[in-house]
Amino acid sequence: MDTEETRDDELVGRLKRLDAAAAPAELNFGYEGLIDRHATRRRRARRQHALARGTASLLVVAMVGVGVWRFDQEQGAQTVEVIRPEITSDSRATQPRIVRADTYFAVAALEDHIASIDDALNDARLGRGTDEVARLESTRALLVDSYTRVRYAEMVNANY
Amino acid sequence: MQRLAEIQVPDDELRAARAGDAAARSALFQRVAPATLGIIRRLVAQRAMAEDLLQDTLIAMFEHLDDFRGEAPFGVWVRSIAVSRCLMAFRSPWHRARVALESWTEESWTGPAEAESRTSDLIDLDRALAKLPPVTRTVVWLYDVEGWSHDEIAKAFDRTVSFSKSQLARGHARLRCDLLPPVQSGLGIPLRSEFDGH
Repeated sequence: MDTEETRDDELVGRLKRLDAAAAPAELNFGYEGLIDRHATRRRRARRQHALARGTASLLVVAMVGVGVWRFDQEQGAQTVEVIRPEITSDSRATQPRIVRADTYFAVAALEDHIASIDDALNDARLGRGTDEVARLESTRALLVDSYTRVRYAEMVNANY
Repeated sequence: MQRLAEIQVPDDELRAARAGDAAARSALFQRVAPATLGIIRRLVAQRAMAEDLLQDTLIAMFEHLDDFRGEAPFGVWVRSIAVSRCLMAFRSPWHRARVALESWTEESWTGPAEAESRTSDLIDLDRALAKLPPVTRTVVWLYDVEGWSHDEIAKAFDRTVSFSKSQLARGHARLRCDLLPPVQSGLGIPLRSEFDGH
């Protein structure tokens, strides 16, 4: 333990030296440039906002138009044949089974849980028996497995 | 380079900047921008993203100058804005997807350009630090160099103290693992990508 603490101290010392040795970061813009960049970003945001509003308005107009057209069609029709889709076991199988949800809180909760298990493991290794360590390690393995699945799903979702 | 946390601003310059004086604001920019970019570059590896975050930080600083009460050095206040902007960026799904992609493509190290002028052990450390996942790197830097407590880090990340301690231990283990020869690194090698990119 002492050795690890010593190595940590040495590492912290090196990190501080790295900070002290750092040369000033080169800026690609000055105060005027900052104001220009900010103005450009605001202009772009306003343009995107206007574009989004225009698209939304167009969509609303299109939906209303389609609704009116269908209403006219129904008025003109003498008979209306209602076709009900037949629900079979095959069609049920094609229903989506994945519910999309934000995984941020799940990931955060899993990470916190793993972190607390890590803490408990550290304590258990120092003071308690091997049974407790084994129990905690098995819980941690389960959590890490769940965590890996969630992150894999996130990665697949982000990239495809 | 003067550390951001040590930067003080004279009262008259601050008063003029608050009043909207362009020269005073420009002077304030010159005073804090390099050190602010320095700390942001430590937390965020990509140069373009760091510049965007610097812009966000400084615009927020100018917009909220009236909120600075002078209880701590001006640089400490700016640093808290910069760190909070970086953490917001880490939480963004875009950033997480980008980190995931980079971990797949194993991009080469893009450390600061001044690396060549330093000793080789610092270059190695810089390289090892850049290879850490962003959240772990941030926890290591805030705790070890900026002197934040685990409580402060936990609050900034909206997580538990255990999270901060665990990330720090994992960061130290990975740095040691990267810096020491394989024989000396010994036990305690962490799971490689358990928290990568998050």
